[in-house]
Amino acid sequence: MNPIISIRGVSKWYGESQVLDGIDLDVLPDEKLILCGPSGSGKSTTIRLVNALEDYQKGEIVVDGVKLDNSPLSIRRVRADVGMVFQHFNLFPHLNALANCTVALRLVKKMTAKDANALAMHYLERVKLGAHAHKHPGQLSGGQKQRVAIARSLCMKPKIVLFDEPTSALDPEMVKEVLDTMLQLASDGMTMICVTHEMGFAREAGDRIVFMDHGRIVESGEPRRFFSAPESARAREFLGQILS
Amino acid sequence: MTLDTLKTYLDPLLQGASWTLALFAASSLLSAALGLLVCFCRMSSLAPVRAIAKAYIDVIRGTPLLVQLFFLYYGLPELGVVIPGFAAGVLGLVLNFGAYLAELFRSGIQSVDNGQFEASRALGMTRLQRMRVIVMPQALRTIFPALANYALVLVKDTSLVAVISVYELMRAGQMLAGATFRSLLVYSLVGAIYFVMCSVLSTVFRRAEKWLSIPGYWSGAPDHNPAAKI
Repeated sequence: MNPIISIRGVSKWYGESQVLDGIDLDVLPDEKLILCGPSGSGKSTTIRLVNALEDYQKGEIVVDGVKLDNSPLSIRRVRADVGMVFQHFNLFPHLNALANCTVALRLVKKMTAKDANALAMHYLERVKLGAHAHKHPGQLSGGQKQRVAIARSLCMKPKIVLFDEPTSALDPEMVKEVLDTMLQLASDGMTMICVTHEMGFAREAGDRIVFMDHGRIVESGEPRRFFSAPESARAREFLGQILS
Repeated sequence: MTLDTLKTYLDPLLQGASWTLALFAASSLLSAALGLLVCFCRMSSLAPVRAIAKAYIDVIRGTPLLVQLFFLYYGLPELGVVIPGFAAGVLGLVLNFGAYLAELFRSGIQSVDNGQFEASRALGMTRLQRMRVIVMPQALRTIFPALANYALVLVKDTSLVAVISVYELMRAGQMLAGATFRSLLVYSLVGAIYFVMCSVLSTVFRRAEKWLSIPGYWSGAPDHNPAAKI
């Protein structure tokens, strides 16, 4: 099976400091990939590369047959296929939940208001927020906001959804509702890359886990085996810290 | 003093006030447009464009409006550029307020969370769409109280164009005081008319601010008062 995302020898620098050092990573269609690692390891940067929120200086990234070469056309084509869910939700505070979902449908996909509303309601109901469609983000809980954000990205009918620490900014009691939504999405066959430290989720949904440190991929493997018997000393140390 | 005498004083002043409103209407709209343009130049990725915008802002903010008006009306004719009074007045006010508004707009745009730019980029919106639909609606709400301030200052600063012989409320007052020698009465009335205009304007802005408020965000409700948290 051909990979839907292919990252080959990608390096990235912010001025003098190198944040990614020769990343090689393939993601297959329908695969659920978990990225983890300590802060500053480059995991967020890596997924942000996939929809061109960051550029890179060396290597090659191909997403669904489109080579990301910093050209506006390639960026536009890739973003049409890739949805993104952020740590801090990044909902548009001046628009209600429904309008958060429809704004890009109207502007980017040029849908009519009627079609966009129908599609957005479909996804809001799927994340169990149909009754809250007319509330503004300021009137929703953290978990509800993140579910709106997931619905917003699904409305664009992406082939891949990227999750950048989607539960890190949530109160503990709201983590489950977001993870349940993500599990449902995983079981529907979506290709997902998740930066997360939620080990329960990683075990249940993850096909593969990639551990990064200092801008490099240190090890990758099946989640259950990674958590019980990590190969590298760095991964053992990291797991020791987050499990304690 | 009878109502009739009051009316003979008020009539010319109200006529002047109608020109004040015309000055305000023209210069507020045009200076907002200019401010937006300069603001985007100021944030341009092209260094020369940024430099021009900065220089313009520095020159305008570094010199008095009165000097700018004199320059336009009395100075430029020496170079063969003659601008009629009303046009010179509007031009002076627009150039002046445009510079301040440019910086105000910039502060508003920069106050919008970076995540908003990222989310709208990730959804595939173009630069223009991001600005128009996501960034500006939030930036304008943030700067709205300050925008109201500038509007009120502009109403009162239109009185400065009296010095380049533009007929408006202040000029009407000067002419009336000169003809009647009743300066105390005339300037009290002039002040009262400015006060009424400003009161109406600030009420309009307060209503608009309420109308623009976002549910769940700071909207004047006591339980959402950010000042209470300090």
